[in-house]
Amino acid sequence: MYYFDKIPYLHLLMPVLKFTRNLERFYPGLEPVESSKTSLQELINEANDKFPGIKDYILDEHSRLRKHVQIFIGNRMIHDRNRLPDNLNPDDEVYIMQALSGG
Amino acid sequence: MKNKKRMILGTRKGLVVFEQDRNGNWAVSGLHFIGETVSMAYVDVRNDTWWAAQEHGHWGCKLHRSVDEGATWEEVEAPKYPEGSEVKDGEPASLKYIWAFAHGGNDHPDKLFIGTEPGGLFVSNNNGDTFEHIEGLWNHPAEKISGSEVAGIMQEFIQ
Repeated sequence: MYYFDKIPYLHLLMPVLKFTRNLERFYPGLEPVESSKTSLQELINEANDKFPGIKDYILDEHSRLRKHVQIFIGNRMIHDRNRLPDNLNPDDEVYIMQALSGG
Repeated sequence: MKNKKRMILGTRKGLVVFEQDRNGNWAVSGLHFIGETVSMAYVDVRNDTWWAAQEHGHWGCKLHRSVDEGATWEEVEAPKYPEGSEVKDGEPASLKYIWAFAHGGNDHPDKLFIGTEPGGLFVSNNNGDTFEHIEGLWNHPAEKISGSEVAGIMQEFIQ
């Protein structure tokens, strides 16, 4: 309710999950996923319902974030890569990114 | 495939199909998964299904099959180590590579075996729709090694 008081129409917002374009190689119709879910894990599961199998690209078989994948919630990088306990605000934008290396 | 002499090769830069012409010369006749590491390419001669295992680095190991000689590919779920599998204390086993592939014989038409790194053996009884980890081998005392050496052992084991 705090957010609703501060920002008009915030109740119309939902967290959105956005993907690196690199994943479009495997999912040509990939697009951001909006959800009313309030946790990062739930948001990823909802994306997996929409794009079957994409969860396996992001997480390993033990639901840990893959080694060279990173998730940002807004400007904040998540810290617990094994449990992904993060909760989401309605106006959060979540980014799935991959590490870059080489020269 | 039956009337043509072909071979498929998995490489670090994709899957390459070679075909032999009437004069016995081999030439490239197809490229798939260009730019991707294909750790294993396999033709199940029982049903002419092509299999390609990929290692994407960032995105993990993936498994594809084709029932039309590479015209189209379908991704199937790669083998997964079950909860509780560890390569050493406190370190869960996670699929790194698919190294070995074998069918289960003509008397088991839907059976397939996959050998992996870390050294696990998986079996499918539904032509690769799903794979199960063979716990007996994983828990065998001789299996208490980790790394690619074990995957090599698996290849010897299932062929």
